This record gives sequence, C-alpha cells and structure tokens, in this order.
Amino acid sequence: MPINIIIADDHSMIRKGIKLILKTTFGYHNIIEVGSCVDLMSELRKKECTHLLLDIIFPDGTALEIIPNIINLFPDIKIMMFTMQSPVVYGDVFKQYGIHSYLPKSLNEEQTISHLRKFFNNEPILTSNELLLPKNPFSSLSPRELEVLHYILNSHQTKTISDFLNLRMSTISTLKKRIFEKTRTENLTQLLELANLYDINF
Amino acid sequence: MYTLAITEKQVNILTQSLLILSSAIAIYFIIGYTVKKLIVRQKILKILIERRTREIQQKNEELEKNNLIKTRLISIISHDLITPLKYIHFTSKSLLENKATLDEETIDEMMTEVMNSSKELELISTNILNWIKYQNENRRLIKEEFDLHAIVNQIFSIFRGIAKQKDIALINEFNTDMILYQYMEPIRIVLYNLTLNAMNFTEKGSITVSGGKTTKGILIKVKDQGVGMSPEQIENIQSEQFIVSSINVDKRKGNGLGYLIIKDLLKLVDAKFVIKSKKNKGTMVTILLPV
Repeated sequence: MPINIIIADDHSMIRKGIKLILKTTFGYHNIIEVGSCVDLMSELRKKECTHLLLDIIFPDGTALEIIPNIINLFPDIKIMMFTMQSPVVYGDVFKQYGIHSYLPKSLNEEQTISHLRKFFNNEPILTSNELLLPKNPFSSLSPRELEVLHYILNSHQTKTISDFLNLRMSTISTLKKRIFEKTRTENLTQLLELANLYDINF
Repeated sequence: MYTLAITEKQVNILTQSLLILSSAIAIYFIIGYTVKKLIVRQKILKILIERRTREIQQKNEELEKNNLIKTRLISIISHDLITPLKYIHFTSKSLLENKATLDEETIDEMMTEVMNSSKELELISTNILNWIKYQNENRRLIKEEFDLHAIVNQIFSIFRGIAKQKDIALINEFNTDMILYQYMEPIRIVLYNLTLNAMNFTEKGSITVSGGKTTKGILIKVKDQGVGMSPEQIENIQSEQFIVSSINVDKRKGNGLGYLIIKDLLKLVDAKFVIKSKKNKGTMVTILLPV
C-alpha cells in the first residue's frame, strides 16, 4: 500500500522542513500539511492516510482532544508524536492510546532521521532509557488532566475551559484541584513556574 | 508701726517651696513638650512607613507581572524562535545537498518558506527585544516631541515587503502637521505591534492608521480589513489578565506576545484602548493617550 503522510504542526517552517527530509532522505512524495485540528480532521476524511506526524499544540486545541477520535475513526493509522513536550510527561499518556513513537523537536538532523526511519519501519521508539529520566511532577497527570493543564497555563477561566472541552464546570474544577494537588502547587503563578522549569510548553 | 511676725526660718521655707513649685511646673511643661514632640514624630514615621509599604507593594506587583511575562517569553522564544530556526537550517542544508535531484517546484516551495519564516522570526525577535529594553528603569517615563505621522511611516516601511506580497495597502492618515509631546518609545512599540497584528490577520485589503488631537487627549486608530475577532476574543484581550492566550484564533497561529506588550506599555503611559471588530469584516483598535 502506498505511503500517504500527513504532517500536522502549527509552524509552517517546521512542516516544510520535515516534508523536505521525507522527500530527500526517504523518497516519499505523498505528503499533506495541516496547521490546525480542524484542518487535520478534514484531511483525514478526504484521503486515506497511513502515517501521521502529530504535534501537540495547535491554535484551535491540543492533540489530546482529538486523538481518541482519530484512533476510533482510523484504527489503522500509524501516529508519531512530533513535539517539544517532554516524553516523560506525555509518553505514558500516548502509550495509553497505543502511540509508541515520539519525535522530540529538540533532536538534531541525524537523530530526527533515525527516529523517522524507525517509525516507517514500524519499530517502537520510546525506549526504556526515557523511563529512567528524573521524576517530573507533571508525569503523574492523567490525559484529561493534561488537557486541562494546557488551558490553565494559558490563563483560561473554568467556564471557558468547560466550553472548549465539552465538560461540566464541576468536572473542570475537580480536575483543576487534582492538578494542583499532584504538582504540589497552590496557585497559577507557582504552576507556571513549575511548567517553565520542566519545559512544559503551552 | 507694724512688724512682720515672720521668722527667718519661715522665709526660707517659703522660698524653698516656691523654688520647688516652679521647678515642678517647669519640668511638667518640658516633659509635656517633649512627649508632644515624640507623638508628632511617631505620626510622621507611621505615614512614612505606610507610604514605603505601598511603594514596596506596587514594586512587588510589578515584579510579579514581569515574572509572568518573562515566563511567557521563555516559552515563546523556545517554541517560536529556536525550533523554527533549527528547521530553517535543516531545510537550507537539505536544499544545498540535494539541489541536483530536486524539482524546481519543491525548491521554490522551500525557499519561499525560508524567506517568509526568517522575516517572521526577525519581527518576533525585534518585538521581544524592544519590550525587554523598555523594562529598563531609566528609559521609561520621558516625554519627547515627535511627529507621529513620521513614526507611522517608519513602521510601515518595515512591513512594506510583506504587504506588497499579500496585496495589502498601508495607509497613513495620521495628522501630518502635528508634533506630539508624549512618550515616544512605548507608543512606537505599541503601533508596531498593532500593525504586526493587522498584517498577520489580514489576507488582503488595507490597513489604515489615523487620528489626531481631541479634547480628551490624543486618539490613534489602527484599522484593518482582516479576519476580525469574536466577542470572546475581544473580552479576553481587554480583561485584566496580562496573559492573552492564542487559542480560538481561527486556525491562525498567534502567541499572544503582541497584546502582552501592548497592554503592558499602554498601562505604563496611562493610556486606554478599545477594540471594535466584526468577523471577516475587520478590526479597529482605538487608543486614547491622556493629554
């Protein structure tokens, strides 16, 4: 079956860069670029996609919100997370969704190509080395909590978050409380500082 | 002839009593005076302490706000500057290594992206630098005489290349023979950011800067024919919070840096701003600088 790739990232330069690498190093030419969750869902429905390179943060939401949908609608699709977020925090969450490939944006060209090669060869990339990384206070957060964390760090109010995620306000409040408890912080300022310290992007 | 029946002894006692009495009275007044002076001094000290405490509280609030902005900047710099730069490098290197085998269409596509992205990065970096420079105490609150029409022209010249590409007209309708006596730097940075926003969120059409002196102060309007903002977005921006999030920006990327800087600087010079916008029609931002 021919390889059809979608690159989903909100930065056009990053999309083009990966596209060029895929063309020149791997010879793949069926590559579609999208810059938002909405566009991604739309392209997925148009043509059968075999491989998806997926960033986490988009202008209109986060990957966490649409991954369950994607996996339901397109169970055969192979997904590799392509992000600046730490695998220590998000790795477990994505494993829960059956996603075992992770491409940090911090890698150099050789490492990036090597990760991509493993992805297209169906080899898992999250190795046990990553599990030996120092304990990160955000790594104990559940997928839902990570979704809410993203909005909290962007200073959104409970009402707005409940609208975005389609959850009740009481649920959001409970999730918020749990986030503060698990990270041992008391307010947004402390949470922001902690997020900065552990390189959590938002 | 009468003789006073007072003995010498009695005179002595009287004199001594008088002396003691006057000393007591004197001491009473001295003590009273000193106590009053101490009470007044204490009151003055109390006022001074209250004033100092308020100053420290204000400084504290400002430091907290700056800290918040710094945290945001760190995230923006790593996500929106460093990673794209890395990919500019990857792409250029790849193009160089593969130019013999690549088709022209791909080469054009990649080169165009490098050209656009590097310009974008230049603008973001300039913005951040300007904001950081302006946090320096000494530069802050100095009013100077300047010609706003000329400043707008300067700003437009930075964007002329991109405007031409996108088919956007930059129109400077600000009063030409007006010399303002205002805080030039903050106003320049705010106008730069408003123009940048207008450029980023307008597909084609025009961006117009207009305004002049009114009785209430100096009015500056930046109007575009871009994608506009929803009422929620406007409320989000005009709220008390410093951090303006970029989500819900209609599939467009935005890191909220522009309004972060705009709000900070406008507050610094005591100016107010109002946003009026209609989705897909355009946006108008009006700034009022106090006299």
